Amino acid sequence: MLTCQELTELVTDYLENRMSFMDRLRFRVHIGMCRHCRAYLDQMRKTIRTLGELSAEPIPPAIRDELLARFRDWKR
Amino acid sequence: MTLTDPQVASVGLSEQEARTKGIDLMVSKLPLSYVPRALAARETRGFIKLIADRRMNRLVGAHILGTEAGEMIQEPTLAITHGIKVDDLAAAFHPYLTLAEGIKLAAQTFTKDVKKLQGRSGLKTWIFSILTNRAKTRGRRDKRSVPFSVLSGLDPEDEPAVHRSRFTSSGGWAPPPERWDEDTPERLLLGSETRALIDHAIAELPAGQRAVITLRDIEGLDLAEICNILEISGTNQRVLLHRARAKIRSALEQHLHRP
Repeated sequence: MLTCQELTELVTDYLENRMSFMDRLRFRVHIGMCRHCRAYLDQMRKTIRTLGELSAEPIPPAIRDELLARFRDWKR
Repeated sequence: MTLTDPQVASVGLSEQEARTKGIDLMVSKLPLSYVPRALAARETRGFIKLIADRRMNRLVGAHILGTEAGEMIQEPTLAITHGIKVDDLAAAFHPYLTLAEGIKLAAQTFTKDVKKLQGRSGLKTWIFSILTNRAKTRGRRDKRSVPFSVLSGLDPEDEPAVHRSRFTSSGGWAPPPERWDEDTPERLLLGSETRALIDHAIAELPAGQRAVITLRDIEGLDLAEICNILEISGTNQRVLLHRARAKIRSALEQHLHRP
């Protein structure tokens, strides 16, 4: 049986869909029975969602100029 | 071809005509929102529809709706006239960031799921590759900066996702994680204090973890694309992502449950 501590190390593989069928099953059985780990998984999902809502940093002018220069070169 | 806005251009058989002739058809329809050039030009109205004879592996019709449909129809016209194979069309060189590339992507769509094509995020991938190469070059020039190889290297010390003190000796939660409200992320981001906290937490991450979490969770790139850009293995990348996310979660937790 998977412990809670072990589960916290598998969360990323679970969320990124990189688990074998049996591991996934074991993970889900644990989540189904353990509300603390359900809360942890939920926190992790919300963390990822929060990160997704951060707006991108503005591109520094020097890099923007380089990108534009590359666009022009590439068109030639 | 019709000069409306957007233009309509057609060549060869329509889907219905081809069906009436009893041809075993393959149909590929690609919205222009999957073509990087259309995305970059912010003009994604329209689609490219290609119709091919499955047995002969050749185009029999092409129908394009889009601002430059008249320009784009030329290639399928030649392909139909000269019986160019769909595979050859899909493999032929088409410059990146042109509408012509849309024809290639549409030809690839016969056999691949359009959502898995690199089209949608291609522009971002390309820009990040340039930025990464830049950072690598600069890293080599400037001895004081962190060597770029740290991106693939894992951190020497073992970093658990959640600190050991949070578990009992048998691996169960000691103080368990609290439930976060449904609107937590939105509510959190309202406060500039929280934003600064997340920015700080990201800035504190080792370079590799920071690169992976930025590309994956903030910019929303695919795992495979990130492997290509950073030139690291899939396993490596998942470990970096795992550790980075765990640290950001932990920072948020401390912030939310301050006494």
